[in-house]
Amino acid sequence: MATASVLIVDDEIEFSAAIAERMINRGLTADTAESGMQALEMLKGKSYDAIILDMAMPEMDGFETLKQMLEFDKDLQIIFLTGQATVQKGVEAVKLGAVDFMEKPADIATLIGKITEAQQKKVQLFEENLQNKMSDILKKKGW
Amino acid sequence: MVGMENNSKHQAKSPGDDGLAFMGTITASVSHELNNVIAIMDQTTGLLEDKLSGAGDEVRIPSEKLEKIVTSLQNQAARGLAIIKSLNRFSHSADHTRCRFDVGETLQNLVQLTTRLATMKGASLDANLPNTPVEIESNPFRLQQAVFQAIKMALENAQKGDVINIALGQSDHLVKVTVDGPGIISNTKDIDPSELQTIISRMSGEVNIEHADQRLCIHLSFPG
Repeated sequence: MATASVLIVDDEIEFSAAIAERMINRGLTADTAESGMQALEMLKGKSYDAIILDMAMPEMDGFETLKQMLEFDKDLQIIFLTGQATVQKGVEAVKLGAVDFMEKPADIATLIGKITEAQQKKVQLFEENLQNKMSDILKKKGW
Repeated sequence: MVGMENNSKHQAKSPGDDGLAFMGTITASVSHELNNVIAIMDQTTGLLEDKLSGAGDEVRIPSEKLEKIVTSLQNQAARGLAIIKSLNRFSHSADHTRCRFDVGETLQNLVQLTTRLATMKGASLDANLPNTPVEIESNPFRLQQAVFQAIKMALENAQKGDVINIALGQSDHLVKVTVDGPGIISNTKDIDPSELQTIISRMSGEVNIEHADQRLCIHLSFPG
């Protein structure tokens, strides 16, 4: 499988810079965004296997960012990484379409494990979408 | 056994509930910020560990990189200590229901603790406090609760880039705190002053709210 690409969205820029560097050291490609708005702009220009998203951010919080990201691409694999982890918030995040929910400070190996799972899921979704498109074309042609 | 959610007696607010809620809001915000500090330190030390473990027997980390890591750890340690110091002062403000204290120092501490709440709305707090002590004999916890409520009201309609001004003055045996922020403009929320009025009345103080030029100005006065 190709190198996993990840976008880390957090207003604590020292946190995202350190975690991005650690991921790069482990063979991933990692970019950072310090706001939901910046992350949404970055998604227009690049595709990511996983997005690590903080919950409490100025202006546009994690939930709103999640909603807008999934409106942009419903197959995005978004993992919440937050210091405000409660069961209620975790359930809410998953209901809104997050694939996972982790508490800060997070173990890097566990986080990379989640990113790898997200990458596999993304590949699976891509293949399913491709298969559906092929079936539609074949149906239209009466095959 | 009666379920608490069905028992209206359990839902009634006791007189201390609003104070507990205030303390809860502050500690939740501060603990979240402390968690961020620890998360940064955790990842930064993790980064250093990566560099050391990957460097083989002879550890060679570029001095610039090492300096950056050390500076980050020092900054976060200082940030964490400042947060804990502010939280400690705030917690002790509930020790006495009546005592003599410096309102300026108390408000400076409150502003430090509430800055994050303003930042979350894209706004900022600007405290204009006198250099000389403004002493008052009153309840320091209640005073902070009142000013916090006023800041919350001013933040209600705050947008990106807005500044909430907090000023302190003293005249005619009264200590006056003014909180000035964005006012009610179309499609923003109405502001309910009842909670603030309740807190102020417990301190024998007065509250006066003015709306002018799309600004909300809350004047609080307390007997000095």
